[in-house]
Amino acid sequence: MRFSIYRFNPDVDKKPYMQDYDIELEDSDQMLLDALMRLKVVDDTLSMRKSCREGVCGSDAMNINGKNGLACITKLEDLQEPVVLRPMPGLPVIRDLVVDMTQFFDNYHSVMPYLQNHEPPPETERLQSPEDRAKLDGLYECILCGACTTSCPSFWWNPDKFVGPAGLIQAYRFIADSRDQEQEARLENLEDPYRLYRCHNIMNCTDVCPKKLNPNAAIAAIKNLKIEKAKEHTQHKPSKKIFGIKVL
Amino acid sequence: MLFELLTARYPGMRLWLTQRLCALSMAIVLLLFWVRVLWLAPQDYAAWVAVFSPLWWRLLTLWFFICMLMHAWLGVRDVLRDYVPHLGSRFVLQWLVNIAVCGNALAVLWILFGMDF
Repeated sequence: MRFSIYRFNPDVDKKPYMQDYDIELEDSDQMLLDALMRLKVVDDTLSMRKSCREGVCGSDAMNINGKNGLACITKLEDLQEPVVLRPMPGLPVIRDLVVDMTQFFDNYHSVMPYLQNHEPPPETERLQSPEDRAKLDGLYECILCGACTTSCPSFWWNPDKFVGPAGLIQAYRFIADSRDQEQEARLENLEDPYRLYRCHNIMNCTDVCPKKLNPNAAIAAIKNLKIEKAKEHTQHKPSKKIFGIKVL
Repeated sequence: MLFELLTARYPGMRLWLTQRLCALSMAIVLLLFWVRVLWLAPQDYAAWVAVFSPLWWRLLTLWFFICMLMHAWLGVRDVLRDYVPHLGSRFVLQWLVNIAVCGNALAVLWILFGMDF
């Protein structure tokens, strides 16, 4: 099978280049990661991340034939040759297919991705109704591979300002959690013109998510919730009058 | 209450909401336009002039174009902020957009209120 892989070693190379490989695969090689492991036997200078090899850790996220995905759950039979592999776009390349995810995790941490409850912890766990628990489905499964965020043009142009789909789906995971007591602060934290509202709903994130999640729906839910909360906030204020007429 | 959501208290929401409200306004006016056109079924120039001759209809058309220009201005502003990092270039381009928007608004005003209906 033919591969064309992005190579860049900052210690040796002045600029990146694409290197072609032809690899003999065996019947047991089903996924792209299997092929890459076989390739590393031929050329052990190729750098990449991998760990669980079953779509749980998210380490081997990369750009596969122009679309972000996980090498370990991408079937070789679905790929057109030559298989073009590049690092995830929008993040600095450390070496070959390995990117520096510092900005990605800075954005993730900025949404305070942990439960905030100021009540003393109960003897057992904090309970939820089945309905409240169901609200977290499709959110908590995010593995933080970065495929969605690095396929988002809004993140490419504003990586330090726009939280990105992965950060926002995690933000909504805690906003929607009935046990969390900082919903208002979490919504306020996303109020500037960039952090949340730079999403223009092009849905690249939903298209590439290897866990089949829908960050775009989570972002829309946050926007709707912000309107609801703002309406509640303004309802407590007396209505304005212009020339004696009550306005909206 | 709606106006409260469009104030500086909500700097992110107000731009996003303004663009959505403009789009909603345009959709409603466009729907009314098609109902009116299908109802009157204008066949010639004089009939089209008759469609636009009532003052209330011209005001509604003006509202449509104000919403369209506002919607477009906000969208292009975002695009320029994303794709033109150089501040000077962005400033010049933004002013060109502002002039184009004002020019279009004046043209709409002239067509709707400067011509004989």
